[in-house]
Parts: sequence; C-alpha cells; structure tokens
Amino acid sequence: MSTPANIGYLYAGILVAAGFVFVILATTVSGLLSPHNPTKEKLQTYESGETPIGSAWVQYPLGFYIYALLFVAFDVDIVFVISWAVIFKQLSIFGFCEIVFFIVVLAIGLLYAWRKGVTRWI
Amino acid sequence: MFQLSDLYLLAPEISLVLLALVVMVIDLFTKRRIVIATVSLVGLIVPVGFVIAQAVTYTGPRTALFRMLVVDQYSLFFRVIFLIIAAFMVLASYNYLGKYIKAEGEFYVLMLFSVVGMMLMASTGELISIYIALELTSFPLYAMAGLLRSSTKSSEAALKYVLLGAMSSAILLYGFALLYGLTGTTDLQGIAQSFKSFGNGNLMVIVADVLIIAGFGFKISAVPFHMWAPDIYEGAPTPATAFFSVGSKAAGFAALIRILVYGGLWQADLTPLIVVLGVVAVLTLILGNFAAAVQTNIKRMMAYSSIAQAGYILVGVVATLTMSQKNHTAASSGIAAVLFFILVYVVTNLGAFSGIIALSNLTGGEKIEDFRGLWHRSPLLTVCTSLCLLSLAGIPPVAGFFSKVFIFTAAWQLGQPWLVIIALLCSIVSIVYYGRIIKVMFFDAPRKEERLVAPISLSTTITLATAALLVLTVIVTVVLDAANPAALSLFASLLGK
Amino acid sequence: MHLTLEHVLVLGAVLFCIGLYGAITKRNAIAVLMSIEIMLNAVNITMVGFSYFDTVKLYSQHLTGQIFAIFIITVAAAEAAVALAMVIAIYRKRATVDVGEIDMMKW
Repeated sequence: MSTPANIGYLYAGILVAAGFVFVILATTVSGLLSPHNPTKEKLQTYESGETPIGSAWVQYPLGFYIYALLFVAFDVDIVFVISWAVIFKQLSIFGFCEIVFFIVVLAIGLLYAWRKGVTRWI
Repeated sequence: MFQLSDLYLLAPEISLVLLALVVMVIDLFTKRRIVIATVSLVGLIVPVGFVIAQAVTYTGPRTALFRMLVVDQYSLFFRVIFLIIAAFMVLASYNYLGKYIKAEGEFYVLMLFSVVGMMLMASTGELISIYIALELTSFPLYAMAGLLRSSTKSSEAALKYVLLGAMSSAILLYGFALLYGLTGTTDLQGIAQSFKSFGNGNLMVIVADVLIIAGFGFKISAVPFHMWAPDIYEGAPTPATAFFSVGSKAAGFAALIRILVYGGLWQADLTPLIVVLGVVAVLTLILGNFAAAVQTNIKRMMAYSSIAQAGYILVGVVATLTMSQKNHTAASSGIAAVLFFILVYVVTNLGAFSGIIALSNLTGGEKIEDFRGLWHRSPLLTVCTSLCLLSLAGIPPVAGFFSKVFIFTAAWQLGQPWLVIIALLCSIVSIVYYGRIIKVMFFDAPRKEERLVAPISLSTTITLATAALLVLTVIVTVVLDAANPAALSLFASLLGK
Repeated sequence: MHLTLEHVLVLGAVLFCIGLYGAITKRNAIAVLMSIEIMLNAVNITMVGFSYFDTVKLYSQHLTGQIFAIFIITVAAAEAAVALAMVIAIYRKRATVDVGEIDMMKW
C-alpha cells in the first residue's frame, strides 16, 4: 500500500495530541500528589527577592508613551532607508536626493517635536 | 526612467509640501498668527502658478514617475479645486483660530498637508500612491477634528473619526488587494488593459468592486457609511468641518471616479456595479435629505445636507457607468456634470460655512433658532449666506441650479430616469430645510437689536465665495468647456491604445 | 501537499473577517484599534500571497504586492500613533476608553 500524500498531517496530529495529554496528565498528577500549605509569603509575586510594592496594574506616565511614539515613527521609516540602501548604486544620484529629502522631512518633524517640548521629561 | 520633466509635472505638490514645511518651521519661532496666515496665503501662489503653467502649456495627457503621476485635464481640474479650497480655508479660519484654537500654526500646516494629499488623490494613476495620498489626506483631518483641546466633543469627534477612517481604509485596501490579485498590477492603466479580457460572472471582481465602493463610501459619506459624518461635523471646530465637507468629499470622489473609469472597472460585470452604486445613491439621497429636515443644530443640518449632495454626485457617476460600455463620449457627459457639480458645491459650501462660522461666532450659538432675525442685525452676511443656501437647494438664478440640471439631464439621457425622479423629489425636500433657515433669518423677530459686525477676514471670505458663486453662474459654459475634456480625458487612455 | 495561493487567501479572508467583527463589536477603543491592525495585516497577507504566487505571470510586477505591504505597515504605524494620541486625549478628559460611553452626540 502506498503512503497517502497527507500522512504528514496525521503524524503532526498525533504529536500535538500526545503533547496535550502529557501536559494535562503531568499537571493533574502533580496537583493530586503534592502537599498544600500556602502562606502569605509563598503567594507573593516573585520579584528577584525584593518585596513587591503596590499593584502591578499601575498607569505608566505619559512620557513613556510619547517616547514610544517618536520611536515608532522613526523605527518604521527605516524600512525605506534600508530598501534604498540595498540598491543604492542602481538608483544613483536621484535616489540619493530622494532619501535625503525624506530624512530632512523627518528631521523637521523631530525639530518640531523638540521645540514644542515633547522631549522634555514631564 | 526618471527625467527632470517628471519633477515639473509634480511641481504643484512638491511646492505645496515645501510651503507646509516652511509654515511649520515659522510656527516654531513666531507666535503671531498674521505672519503664519500671510505666509500660507502668499505661498499658495507658487503651486497655483505651476498648475496654471501646466494648464496653459497642456498638449495631452502625460505620465511621470513610472506612471504613478497622471497629469491630464481631469487632474488639473481637481488641482484647481483643491487650491481654491486651501486659499478659502486660510482666510475663513483666521478669526476662528484666534478665538477658539490655541494651536494656530498647526491648523494651517495640517490643512496644507491634507490639501497635498487631496491633489495627489486626483492625479495618481496607481493603487499604492492612491492609498498613500488617501492617508496623507486623512491623518491631518483626524488631528484637525481634535484641535479644540478644551472641548470634550471635539476629542470625541476625533476619536470616532480616526477609528472609522482607519476601518474604512482597511476595507478599501482589501479591495485593492483583490484588484491586484486579479490583474497582477497596481497600475490603473494596466488594470484597465487586463479588465478588457474579463467576462461577466467573476465573483472576485464583484467583491473587489463592493469593497472599494464601501471604502470610498466612508470618505464621501454615502449612506450606509455616513454615520460618522454628523457627529464629527458637530464636534469638530467649524473651519475644520467646512474643510471636511468639501475637501474630503471632493478628493474621495476624485479618486473613486479615477479608479472606476480610468481604471476601467466598468469593462467587466457592469450590472452589479451599477446596482450597488445605484442603491447607495438612492439611500444617500433619501436619508440625507430627510434627516437634514429634522435637525435643530445647524452644523448637523449641514452634515446631512452634505450627505445629500454626495447623493446627487453619485447619480452622475452611476449614469456615466450605465453608458460607459456603449459610448464613451456620451458617457463622459455624466462625469463632466459631476465635475461641474463638485466645483459649484465646493464654492457654495465654503461660502455657506463661512457664513455660519461668522454668524454663530457673533451670536454665540449653533442652533437654528439662534439665527433669528439676523437680516436686521447683519444684512451683508445674511444675504450672502442665503444666496449660498439657495444655491445648495438648487433654486434657479444661482449656479447650484445649473449643476443640478446638468446632472439630471445627463442621467436622464444616459438611461437612469428613475434615479432622476428620486433625486428630483429629494431636492424638493431640500428646499424645505434650506428655506427654513432663510425664513428664520429674514422674517423672524431678532433676539437682540444691536448690530453685529463681522471680522474683516470672514466678511471678505464670504463675499468672495458669493462673488465666485455669481461668477460661476455667469460663466457656466466656460466651466463646462473645461469639464468636458477633463471628463473625456479619463477615457482617453483606453481609446488611444 | 503544498502551500498554495488558496491557503493564503483563506487565511487572509478569515483574519480580515475576525478583524472586522472585532472592530464593530468591541467597546474598548484600544481593542477596536487592535482589530483594525488585524484587518490591515490580513490585507498584507493577501498582498504578499498574490505577489509570491503571481497568478497572472507578470514578472516585471512581481514585487509590487510586497512593496504595497511595506507601505501599509508604515502607514499603519502612523495610524496607530494618531489614534492612540486621540485615545489619550479623551482619556484625560473622560477617564474612559469605552466607545459606548463616549456618546455625547447622538442624532
């Protein structure tokens, strides 16, 4: 009998099922066998030996957000610079001028943000 | 490959970008509004000059930058419209900005960037650049809606606008993706060529059509994608509202018609396209007009009125598509009527909005009843605003009448009599609600007696708009002479090859 | 069995529908934004799929879909930045990001 074309999916399915069974089995068995003796210290969040202060659900200062925003704006635009750099020689002088214009526009944007005091830590 | 003449064809947009950057830098170093406004207004001469130069030396459609930029009469027509909008906006917003918005420089910069996007939307022949232009138009609009920092309504409007706008562009993009998959190219001429060989009954074509119409439906605020418009028009600062109502709509139609006609989507599966657009047009007409009739806030009324106006334009588009497979020259008369309608609508709506900005600034209210008896208090403003409203309603002596007549006759001749009848009935409703404002302004007793004096920039704007409207009324044939070849130039790429 | 264009398209369509459903039903503005990002990425998958499998055999245009995807990614980043700025602006005033509660204007 020849092997069917989709036999790979069967193997993968068996592997996935076996994985699920193993994990479920291991957690239930350990839950049944282990002793239960919770104390306050044991239930605390582990922060590398420090005592945690306050809740983890605090609001971060808006300063972080604005930095993230500036980062994203420049980070994503690097995509264009890299794809330009790959074929730098083919594009010659026109490509160079275009990318310089692109970066100048971004720089004016940064200048604007800087002058408006966005980069000052609030 | 790239040539220097390509830069000349792109010069209006490039110079406008540079102007916006200059205004942005100036705004950093001076706080004087008059400097910023003057620079914006004077700087507009450069792009206007380039457009005029291109129009005068026009010899035929040209493409540049790997066919991304198409300079034909159609794109020149729309570039003129958008530059008119920019100039009007600088004047009309001047006083409002000083009074309500602290970020004056930002308003001008955002407005100029948005106008660049609009001009590109009308003059690109390629899906990627249409998308980029669309987003360049939209992002500044989102920010402009939220510029009234002290008002919660304004922030709310901005949030709604940005979420719905992003959703609509995602839907539009999915349509673009299907179009690209069907034809293997994003170049509209290439798409038009490969659509020639498509037969009827290709489901993917229909899905792509529907997605594209839905995506642009948001931008032109056509029912059932209109629900953002009234909220955002009410919440946003009034000059920004005026800008949305004319700019975003004209640009949306410019790109939609460019894709549908120049991109040759009508060559395959015309019937579903016409049915979908026709249903959208009818719903837009009916809901826009009837909802406008029950509003009490004047900005919301103008929002529904601008939805209704989109309905009339859609009638013209549908009419063109109906005939497009049989007779290009006849079909282009529909687009010519649409172009004329858009030009008149832009001038009229800007005039009406500057009138409303002025009157609500002076009276301090945005309800229709706040406008009682303004005839006795500020005759010039009242007369100009009323003329603009009459034109929107399509009452005979003014240009709005001709624009409606052209659309209706074109649609009738191209074989859509039912749409014309529905549109006619709806315009009768529209006379009621435009007339109500005029009646309140002229015949009701004023609340107070003292005279109202409008600031000079606003009264200049509204007088200019009204004058432009009257001039348009006189030179109807001249404008039509420009609109007819512009409409035909959309078909030119298909006829020529 | 190989990966074919159909697989990619179905994945794209399913993702797009999930995103659209989320964008319409979610009440949290941030969640709506995330749903919209899912929609955009569904478009990216469709674009790249069409470009990779190249149904129409136009080899000169081979990369167009991928370039389109790059542009969509960058524009989507800008879009997210603008939208988040609006969310923060409204959160400062109303202390909520629930779109259901942001309802001062109703017709």
